Amino acid sequence: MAEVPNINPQAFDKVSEIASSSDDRPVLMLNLNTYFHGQNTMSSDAYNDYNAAVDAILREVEGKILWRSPVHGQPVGKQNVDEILAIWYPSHQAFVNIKDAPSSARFAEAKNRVVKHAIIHRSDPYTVERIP
Amino acid sequence: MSTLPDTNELEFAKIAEIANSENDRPVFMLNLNKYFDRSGFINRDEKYDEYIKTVYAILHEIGGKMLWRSPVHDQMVGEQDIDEIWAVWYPSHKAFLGLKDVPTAAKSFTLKRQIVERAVIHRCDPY
Repeated sequence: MAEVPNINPQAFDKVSEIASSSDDRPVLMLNLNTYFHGQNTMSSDAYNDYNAAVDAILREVEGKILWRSPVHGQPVGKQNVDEILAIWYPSHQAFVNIKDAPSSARFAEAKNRVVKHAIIHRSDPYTVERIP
Repeated sequence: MSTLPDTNELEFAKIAEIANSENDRPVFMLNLNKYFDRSGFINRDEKYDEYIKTVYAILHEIGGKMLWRSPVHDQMVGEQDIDEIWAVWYPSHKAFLGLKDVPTAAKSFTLKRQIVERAVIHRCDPY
């Protein structure tokens, strides 16, 4: 089992609680990544290894990257983020399963080589609203 | 013309440069919003509802789209206190710059000041 740095145990407890309940459901995790070498990281071999590890672990837990984008700037507010990934998981249990997935150790190692800082926001899967 | 609070002039200059070039293109803005009253947002109270209607009106006026929006429950990793995420698509950088000049802007920005405690908007590539 791999350890994830900078985690919030209370949030993980909450996710585990949902995962163990009859109300488990899909979840969207919005990852805001800051890399050790800024966006230069995104052309490195280490970054390619990281992406391969992300792809592998998401295959194992059946998650999907819905979209990802480099961050070009902030017209409003300030936050140092190099890339954003919106990752969908079919259930909270799937997210919990990351730490025990076969690629977990490889994923953690690859991530630790490129990700200097990350924030992962737990949110609902897409809710599209239209107001007449 | 209305003014947005907490803007970064250098970033707006870059956006204007793209908007005025032959390379203007669609752009995706990810809005991370922290509200003064989280419960008002969660319960979709009258004030929040009025604000969000003006946001959709503005987007309609400039041809933008709210691709999705979602409440934020907590942070699994790291810290950032926000209440809601908006993923907004604009047909061009010029359209984004045009926000402040559309008919609903003044009302919307006034409401925003009453509801949004702080915001970060990340400029990203569309998908």
